[in-house]
Amino acid sequence: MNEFPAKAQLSFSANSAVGPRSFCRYVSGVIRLESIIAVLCLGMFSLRAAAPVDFNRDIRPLLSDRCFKCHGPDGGQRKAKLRLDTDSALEAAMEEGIIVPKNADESELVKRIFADDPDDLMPPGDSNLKLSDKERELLKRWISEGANHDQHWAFEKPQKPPLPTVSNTNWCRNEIDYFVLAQLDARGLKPAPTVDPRTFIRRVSYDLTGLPPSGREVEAYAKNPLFKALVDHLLASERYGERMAMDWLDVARYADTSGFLYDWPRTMWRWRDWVIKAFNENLSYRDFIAWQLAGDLMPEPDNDQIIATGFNRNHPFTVEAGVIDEEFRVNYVNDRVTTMGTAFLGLTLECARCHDHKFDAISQRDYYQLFAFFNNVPESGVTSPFAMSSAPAVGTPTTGQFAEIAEVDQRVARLTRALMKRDRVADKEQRAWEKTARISHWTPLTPTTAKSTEGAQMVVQADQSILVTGPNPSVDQHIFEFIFTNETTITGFRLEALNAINGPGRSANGNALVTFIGAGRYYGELHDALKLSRAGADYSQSDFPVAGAIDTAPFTAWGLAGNRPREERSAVFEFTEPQTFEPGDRMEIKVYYGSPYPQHVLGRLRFSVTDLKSPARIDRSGVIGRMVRKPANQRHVSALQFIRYYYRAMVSPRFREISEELSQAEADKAAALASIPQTMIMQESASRPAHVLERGAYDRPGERVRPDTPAALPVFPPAAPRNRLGLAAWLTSREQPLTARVFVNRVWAQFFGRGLVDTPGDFGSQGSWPTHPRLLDWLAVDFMENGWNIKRLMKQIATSATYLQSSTTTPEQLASDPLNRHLARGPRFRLTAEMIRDTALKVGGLLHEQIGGPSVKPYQPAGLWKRLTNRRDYRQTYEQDSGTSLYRRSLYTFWKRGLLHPSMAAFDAPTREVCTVRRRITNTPQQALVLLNDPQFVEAARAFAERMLQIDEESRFTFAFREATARAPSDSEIAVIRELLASEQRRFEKDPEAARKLLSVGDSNAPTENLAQRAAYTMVARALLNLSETITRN
Amino acid sequence: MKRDLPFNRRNFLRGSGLGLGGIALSSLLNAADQPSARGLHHAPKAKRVIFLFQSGGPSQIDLFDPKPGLEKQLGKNLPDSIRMGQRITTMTSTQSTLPIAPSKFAFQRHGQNGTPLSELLPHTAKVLDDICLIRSVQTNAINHEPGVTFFQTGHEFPGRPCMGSWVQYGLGSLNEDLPTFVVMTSNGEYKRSIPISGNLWSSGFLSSRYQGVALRPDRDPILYLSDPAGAKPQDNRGLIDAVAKLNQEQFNRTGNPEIATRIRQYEMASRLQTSVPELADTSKEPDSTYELYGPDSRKPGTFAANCLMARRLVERDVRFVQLYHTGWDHHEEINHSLPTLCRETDQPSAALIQDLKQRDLLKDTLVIWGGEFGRTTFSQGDLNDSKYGRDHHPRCFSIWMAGGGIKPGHVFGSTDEFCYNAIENAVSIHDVQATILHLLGLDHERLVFKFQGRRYRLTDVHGQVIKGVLA
Repeated sequence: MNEFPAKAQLSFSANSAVGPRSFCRYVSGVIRLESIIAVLCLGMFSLRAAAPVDFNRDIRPLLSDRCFKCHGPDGGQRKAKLRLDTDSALEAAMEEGIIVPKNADESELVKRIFADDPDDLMPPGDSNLKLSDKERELLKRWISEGANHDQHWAFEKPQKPPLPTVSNTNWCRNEIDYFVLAQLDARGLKPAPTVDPRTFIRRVSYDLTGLPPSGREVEAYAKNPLFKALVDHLLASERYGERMAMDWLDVARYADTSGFLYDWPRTMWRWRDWVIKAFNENLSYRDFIAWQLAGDLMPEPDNDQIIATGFNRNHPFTVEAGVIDEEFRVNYVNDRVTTMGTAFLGLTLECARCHDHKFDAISQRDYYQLFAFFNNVPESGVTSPFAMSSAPAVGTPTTGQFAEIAEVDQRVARLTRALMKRDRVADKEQRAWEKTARISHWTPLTPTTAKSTEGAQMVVQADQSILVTGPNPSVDQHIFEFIFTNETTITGFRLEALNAINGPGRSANGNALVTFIGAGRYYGELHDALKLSRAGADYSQSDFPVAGAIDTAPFTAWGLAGNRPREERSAVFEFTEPQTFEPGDRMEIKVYYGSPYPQHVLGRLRFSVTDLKSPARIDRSGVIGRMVRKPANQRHVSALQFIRYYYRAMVSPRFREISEELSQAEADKAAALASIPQTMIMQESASRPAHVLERGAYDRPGERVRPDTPAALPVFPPAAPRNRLGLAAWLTSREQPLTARVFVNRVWAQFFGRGLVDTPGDFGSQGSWPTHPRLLDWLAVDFMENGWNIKRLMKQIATSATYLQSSTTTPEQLASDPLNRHLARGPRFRLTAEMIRDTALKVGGLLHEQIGGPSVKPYQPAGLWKRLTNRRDYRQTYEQDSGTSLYRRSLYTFWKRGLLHPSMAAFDAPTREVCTVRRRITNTPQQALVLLNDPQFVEAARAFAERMLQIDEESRFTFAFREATARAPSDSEIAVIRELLASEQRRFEKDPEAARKLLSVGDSNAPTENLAQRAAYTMVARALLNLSETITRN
Repeated sequence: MKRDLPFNRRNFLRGSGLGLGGIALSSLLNAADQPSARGLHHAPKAKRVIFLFQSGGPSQIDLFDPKPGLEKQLGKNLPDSIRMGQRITTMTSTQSTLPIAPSKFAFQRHGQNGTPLSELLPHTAKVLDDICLIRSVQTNAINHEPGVTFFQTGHEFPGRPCMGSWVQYGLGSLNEDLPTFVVMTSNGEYKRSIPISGNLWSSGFLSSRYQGVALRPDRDPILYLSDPAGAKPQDNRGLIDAVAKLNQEQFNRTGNPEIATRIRQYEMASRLQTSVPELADTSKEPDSTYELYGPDSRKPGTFAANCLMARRLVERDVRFVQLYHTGWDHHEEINHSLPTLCRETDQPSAALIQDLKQRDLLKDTLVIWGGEFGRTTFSQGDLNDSKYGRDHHPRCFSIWMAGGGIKPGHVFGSTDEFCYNAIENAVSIHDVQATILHLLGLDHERLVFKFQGRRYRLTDVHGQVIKGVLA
């Protein structure tokens, strides 16, 4: 178990030696596994009399589920000092006579589970746990047969078993089939016939691309059914990456809002697009994990590697005022540990957060050692309201944006050169102007009220500044109100950040970060936001330019001083257009301080207003006035340049044209920069000490722990760094028993509806025993041996005879194996929410196949978001998109955690607050209502009808059925459709208004002719989109 | 109300080769979704629940829990001996003092026991003999998100099933023609209320069939109920019949039992299209009803209208009706805002009790009124400024319960002289949840769902039935 590749890091060695000890285990494992012929049915034990009891299959799950609560790994809850969960514990139980091998009646365990006296009975009555008669007999038999025991299977390193002997090698198309057929042989079952090609192309298209094939593709394939070529073709399609991403977005809890009550929008789609790209480029699963866990820690990481780390930032975050920061920060770290457990290891690590795990060998200490890997992110528990991401985050320009910014940069440079070119006449005019130039353009204002939402005190000073004193909260919001006494027209305002005690900021280092500044005006009671078009400052930290204080982008801010406290600063904010205030009108200015840096709040502020044209463009808050006041020969060379620039751009009529062009170019540049999407990423800061948290409470730190992996799993690679990079190497080392098994199992479920292990998120002792353990191990090892190549694995499964079986069932088959655990037939299940809508769009010819970009907002019933709150500033409105955005694939639909798109929710899409590895499939009346009445489906039906009408009348129904179900209709189906068409045609001829209304559903153009016929065909199309068959893949 | 579709269940069974076996198999396939504990653990006292959730945290000291002696403490700092180092939110933890702010509202005695109640609740005063006031509720959370989530799911962070989902999972439906778990939200005049998240009626890891169905003041009270082109259900009859026939044919061909289930879902959808508009149409309610619930009850979407709708829902045997009213989060200007909120909620809440009683529904309907926590005895902001408010307070707050199995006209639990700590019969949120389930005939320790290897409960690993409030 301990041989690790010497160069652990992120490589793994396919040649890692199998030591003699593991070899023995391997052999015994084979013997043990060979004996398995009994099969589980419906989770109950239906053992054949002859089959010996298998500890891991039959006994461990029972002991785990009914006994481990008090006799398992959790030392804190252990009763009677008895444990039954490990090899050595069971040996000890045997020494004590609790289990007497081959002598069940002498075993205390048997006495207790069969006890008549309720005081002796196990499990005790108050546990609400019971053993059935069958289960008791099973435990008894296990002891009678010798009470063999073994390590939990999933914690053993998987070995590649040899192919079993089968009855019919001709049936087998690849190795998978040997394992499946061997179990069918053992049960006396025969595989189902090969699926017909039309059903197959539909099945495999959904499984690999999430979309149905067109009728034409179906027929072409039926003529020439080269299934391997078809699979290759689908794997090469860009739709493949989108299909794979759909499942991964559930696992990675990707969403477009930040969750919790406020559930504000966030931008993480750059991460989502990376996932699609990674699948399309067939990044190995090993790298896929490593980049997401630790891309930032790789040597000279590229953009993709950085973006990929967003995986660990996809969790919800809160903006609620009053929250204790550490409580939520700890919660985020917990989320990362939980997600890693479910997604990669198939372990319920979260069960060891408050105490040792009740069922698996994960101690509470193990949990916090894993916690320590994710504890060093420079993040905060509470983020400012309206923030679209939480630090750390980076701007990640797309390729197109890079080009746009480069272009606009060149334009600015060219125009600036033209503006500043040598011009003696202009210089002469400038000197004349300097003598008369106005010194100050600014009129200070005294606020009528000043307050802090977090309880700081505000005191107006003699110099009209406002001093902030008293409580010093970590984040704050200052609100100032000004009443105008005379009619005043202003173009913007200036904020001076003056020295308070320690500098302009109230933090320990005297710095401050203004995350947002907003202005509004009141006419009586009416309130209007004043749009700010531009900001300028005399100084901004390079990473926090002042423009960040007026954009709505995520974590951006005006940083005043960096590491230079005690410097007074000022910034100018310009309105989109000049504002005139009547006497008595009020203006409100709000200053937000919501950065993760505590108390980065201004300590003394002064506001002034100006009527100067474009005040934020150049004036830089009055600095020009000070410069001009100095005699020319005492001016610094930069000041000379600056005054010239100012004069020519803002004053001189000679340069007006260039100046205006330049102004436009600067605005374009600001817009381009503002549109760069932010994405949250991982970073490693100086390590925060991690502790075992008693009872999981953030404020009860216990023993200090360091990053490490659970003792029951392979050791941490000795050469690997003790950080997330090393953790990724550990997860994907050849010694790791879980990662590959868990992944191939999820991929299997993508094709078969269920995994070989029915609990994809729990491979612990409470998880399901695999239906095909040797197949699972073979697939896992083969996957690792072949470079964790995902497309290769997909192809293996998609071209297996097992997958190529027909899914048609007889009542007998259904009765004997309703869940198809034996795989004696092909898989059949309902499509996902995304696929159902995408199918309608594709069949209707509406689907707009564009990869990636910001999430879109298709049709949604009005007013849903609005009803969630009436709080000003916090109210969110669903602004429906138009044009092609209405017809994008559903994985791009805006994913709001607190209120998922209702038609997606109806078809069981999860809210993605937590990692989800399996969607539960339901069949409800709400689904019928969505398919019947969601405008998206009605519009798709209308478009589908138009496509039908372009086909010759006699083949219309065949065409339509092929598009929706990949097959031609039967005569009786045609009869049903014909009858519907005729009666609808009659109805719409009688009621043209009904036809017109039906044909106006949705944004696409409403037809003006042949309304009755079109409407009748639309009803036919609706019927087809509502078929159970259309939303099922057979 | 039920009408026979050409392919109703009976015809379908006759027509299909599979007969009953097909249906049985279909349920078998959904076995994972079926409750392990479906059915009662003991005889229930209540069959239905109406939860009038008051989001934001109503001030117990101004409404339910008078502290006449506190006048003497006006403006004095909250003694450390009372606070005992307990955490408070970062909105007041930075205040230099925590000045005691006695209630400005008068309390009068009402009901047979002469229970004092705030002047702000004149209508609740009239039903005091029907309700049980619990003054000693405590919660773990000090902020809204964790607080509301805790009350609804038994856990402070989102992701677990809410109470309504648990109840539906445990008990199923009483009326197949309507949803089993219905949610209605309302926002009042107060404009600083915290939002309501749709997660609060999520079924978490339970099947999504158990999620709450939002009932809205809209043309479509339930989403997608009506045809977007305005067609009446009878206009779409041909469509529905054609879908049923085609589904049936496919079922005969493939034997897929899910198709049988789907045919039934279309029948149920058709029934919803009749039963929901009938439910939502309150035009036939007599004027006396509107007088009882107050003038707001004529305005769809208000708390009053939702209370009236709640009565109509339980009349039709909807199992769990969850209301949310926002606006109780009075960090500032509490003395101005609290009367507004009481105006919005007092009369309709009391009316609901009276209305249920006069229809003989109160005896087996459980009504709960309360928020996620209470408010502090000290002021948030300067006590001398009339704009002061009160911060969140988890250590004691008041809720009331009424109806099926609850001891009427009773006051349970008490708090210290500062209204800071519960000192007698303190109850936890898990206790309240255990009690609600108990009244419905469910043992909170046995209503479990196994997910990711663990048996989850609404009450996590805590909770005891509050015997003192049981009739």
